[in-house]
Amino acid sequence: MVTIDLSHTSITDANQQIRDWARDGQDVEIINPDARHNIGVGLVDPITVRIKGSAGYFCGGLSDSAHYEIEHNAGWAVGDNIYKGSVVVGGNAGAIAGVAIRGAEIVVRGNMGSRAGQVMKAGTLCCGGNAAFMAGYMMYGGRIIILGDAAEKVGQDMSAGEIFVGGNIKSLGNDTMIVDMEAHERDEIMAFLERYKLNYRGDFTKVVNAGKKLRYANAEPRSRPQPFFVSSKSSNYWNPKVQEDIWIKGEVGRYRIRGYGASKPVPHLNDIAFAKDVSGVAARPEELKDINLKTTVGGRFGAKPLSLSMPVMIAPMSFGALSRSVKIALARASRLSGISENTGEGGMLDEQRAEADQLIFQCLSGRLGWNVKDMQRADAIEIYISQGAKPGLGGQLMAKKVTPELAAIRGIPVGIDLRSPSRHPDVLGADDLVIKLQEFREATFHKVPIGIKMGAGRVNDDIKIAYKDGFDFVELDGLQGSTGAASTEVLENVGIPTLSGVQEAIDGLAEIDAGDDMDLVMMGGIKDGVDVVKMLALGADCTSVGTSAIIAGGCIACMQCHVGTCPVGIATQDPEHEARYDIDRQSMNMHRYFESLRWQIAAITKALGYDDVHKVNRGDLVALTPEAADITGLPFRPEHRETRRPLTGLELLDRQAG
Amino acid sequence: MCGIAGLIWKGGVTSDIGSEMTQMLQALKHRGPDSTGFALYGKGEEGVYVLRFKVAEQEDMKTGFDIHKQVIERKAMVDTRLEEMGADVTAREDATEYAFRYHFKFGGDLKRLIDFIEDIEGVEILSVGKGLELIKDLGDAAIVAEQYGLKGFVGTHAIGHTRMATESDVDIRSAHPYWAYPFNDVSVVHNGQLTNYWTKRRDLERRGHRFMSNCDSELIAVYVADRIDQGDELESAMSRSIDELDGVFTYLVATSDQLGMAKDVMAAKPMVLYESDEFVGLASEEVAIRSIFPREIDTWDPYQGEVKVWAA
Repeated sequence: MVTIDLSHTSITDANQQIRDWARDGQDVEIINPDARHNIGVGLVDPITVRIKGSAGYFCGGLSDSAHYEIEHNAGWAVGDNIYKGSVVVGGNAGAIAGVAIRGAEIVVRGNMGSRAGQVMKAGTLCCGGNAAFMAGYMMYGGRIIILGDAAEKVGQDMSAGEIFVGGNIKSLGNDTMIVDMEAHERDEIMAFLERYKLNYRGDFTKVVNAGKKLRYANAEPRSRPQPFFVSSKSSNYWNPKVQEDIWIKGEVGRYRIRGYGASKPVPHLNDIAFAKDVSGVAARPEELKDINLKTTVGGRFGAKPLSLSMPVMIAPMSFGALSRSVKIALARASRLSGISENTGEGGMLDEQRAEADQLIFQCLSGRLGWNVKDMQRADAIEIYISQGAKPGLGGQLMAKKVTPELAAIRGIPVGIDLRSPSRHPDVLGADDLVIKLQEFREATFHKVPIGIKMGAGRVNDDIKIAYKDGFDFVELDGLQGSTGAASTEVLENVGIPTLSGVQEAIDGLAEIDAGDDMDLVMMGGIKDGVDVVKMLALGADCTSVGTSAIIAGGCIACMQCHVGTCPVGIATQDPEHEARYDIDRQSMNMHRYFESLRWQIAAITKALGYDDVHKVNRGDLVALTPEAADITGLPFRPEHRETRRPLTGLELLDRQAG
Repeated sequence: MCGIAGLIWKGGVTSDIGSEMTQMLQALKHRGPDSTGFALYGKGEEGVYVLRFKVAEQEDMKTGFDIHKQVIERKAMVDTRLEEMGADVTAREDATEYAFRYHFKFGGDLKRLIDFIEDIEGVEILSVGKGLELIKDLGDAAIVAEQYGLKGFVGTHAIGHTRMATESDVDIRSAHPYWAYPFNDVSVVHNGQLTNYWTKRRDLERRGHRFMSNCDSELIAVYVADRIDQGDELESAMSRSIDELDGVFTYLVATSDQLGMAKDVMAAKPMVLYESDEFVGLASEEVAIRSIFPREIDTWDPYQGEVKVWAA
């Protein structure tokens, strides 16, 4: 047993010492903890950490196999996301005790705060006293034992698992019911209580999911949900697609769902042109080899940055929305082209890790597939706040895609219509986010960049928060970014265009004199190297491509991604459909597409007169429309629309003839 | 986007609340590094008001044209107007070059006096009260406390706030705590967002209240003061706010002799409470309460929808 005194040791140093001792199998005692945050975070060895006092937020969080004994109280999210191992709290625990645990045993001898066990997947959370508001909120599995009383809305929106309450239940949550307890369950609970020396002889009330809201009641008829426009430019107001949409809603009684992003016409990069004529450049590869495209992302605070061969990343897309084969192909293509792949929601695949040289691991609100082991083998971490296609809403994964394999990696029941929470359990403001970010840094030893993924909404405020909270990079996603499934109205109406997003981000950072140390990665409708260069000239440091990569890799844009029967084996978990996907061929197609981006980026950079793509700037751009000029503040030069317009076939023939 | 803290010594006990609140807020610096605000409640002298006011902002002092001269002129104007209204200024202290602390005796219409002074360009009254003194400025708790000499401020209770600004840094008016103009000695700090801000603000504006900012926290201050003005006890005013204000919030209110806390029905914003026979401490995180109590103490999270009030 070694002792660490937190009165004169920083948390980062203390956690490093704990890990060092743990490798030798030494137990550790922490004195003078004074409710400091992130004690023992990121530990993956089976030792015992005794905390002689009270702990702050995330005590024992993001760990595996270790045991924590907290003599007194614990703050928010004690035992966050623990796989195996245990935490025993001698006093009271704050809100979200045992959040997202995946097998751990969390025992709170006193009372626990609100939303205990939120999004937990497996394991046991036991409270010797009373539990506040919404115990078991959105839990996906495991067991909560409350020996005292439970406050309002017990088990609110739980998908699975059991809650046993010894005392009174003030009220039940949505879609829950009380059922009889089986004899073996009582025996197991009693054995558990005995193990932790909790004395209880009374009865229990068992609360489980009632199964009324796990699936959408009415299936949507299969109809190509082609986007339709109703704009001032169209007189066909009640056109057949609008009518069909209304009929279908009349049938299913809810919003409709489709894949892809917004399809309504909004100002985009096409409404911007280069100030110089770049059409004349006939750049051969050997002329372009000296143009620097190398891009690093995430070096703001000394972590090892992502090192990209060009200012392009692959956008976050989940194993779940996409098949395993596609994730492997994306990872391979990213390696071949020297760029990064991103896990998206839903966990990291071993093959994906093996194929990708640089892999970003994403953390979402439901903590689906999220775990410390994969964090520690990622090259960057990204906390997802929202995406451009549906800012403020959680992901949706229809039952057809929730296969046993997928359910296992995510830690959820098989065959539910999975609706991910819209908020993180432990991030309800920029202030909580500071502490969460610190937890991630502790769990990854301050060695990898940590970024934030945001959908474009109130970018001007959000980007300042990201900067002040201390993120290494921001991935900002505009309205045109795609998704695997979202309501059609949300897709078209909620986010703001990518172009507005980048401009607000740049303006916001300038307003607080942020400088340029936090990297800005822009995504949402980037389709070619021209777009990439325009984005960089507007002020982004890097871009990421999702939809265009998928299209390069075989997607036919039928927009039925949510259904789960993707005809080309991309957006599916059905083995029969997935068998149609040729990983070798499609990864090469994606790789060649990325190389086309590289060539274009280099060619345009050269045509603009630079030897480095990071030298392009706003002076290189003009706006072609009043809207684009208004959004970006670029000079409005409609005449460029004429001179830069590609020739029509007839004009080309004329020119050749004459 | 902030940390809040409150403390109260019960039974008329006084303590160095200036230092205590500074330590608590310094422990919450990570929640809001940009600016810090204090509402400190001293014992006060019978019949004497304490006035805290600024004639410029810290940022103006760096950049404003001819600002040093203007500061002197504005202060002179405040002196003239106080005299014109018949206020008897008994003490004048410079907290900084641009922020001042006066003691004065006055028998007339206080609201009129306040309005007359604030009418001077660039002048903002931070607080007027018999016990309340409100200080807010850029920097962390240690910096602000040092600048305004808060160490050794003896009193019974205090609330405070650390802020992360996303709007202009210069706009210290949007910083907490809020003084519930023109009510003596009522101040508020708040963590969260109100979603029915505009509806409630229009209600209160129709009742003749003035808003200095577009910040939802100011609304809580005015709302609570308005209820008290109509005869509610602090506790019933706050209980009513739980029903009438919509959103996620925890807030602390201080009056001349009471400290209250309220938590919304979603319990989405953090608050940790420690209570003993002689002292109550509240903060967004336990680490703040620990900063003034090195020994082990029992703390807990108040429940959703809970309102508690303590007397000094």
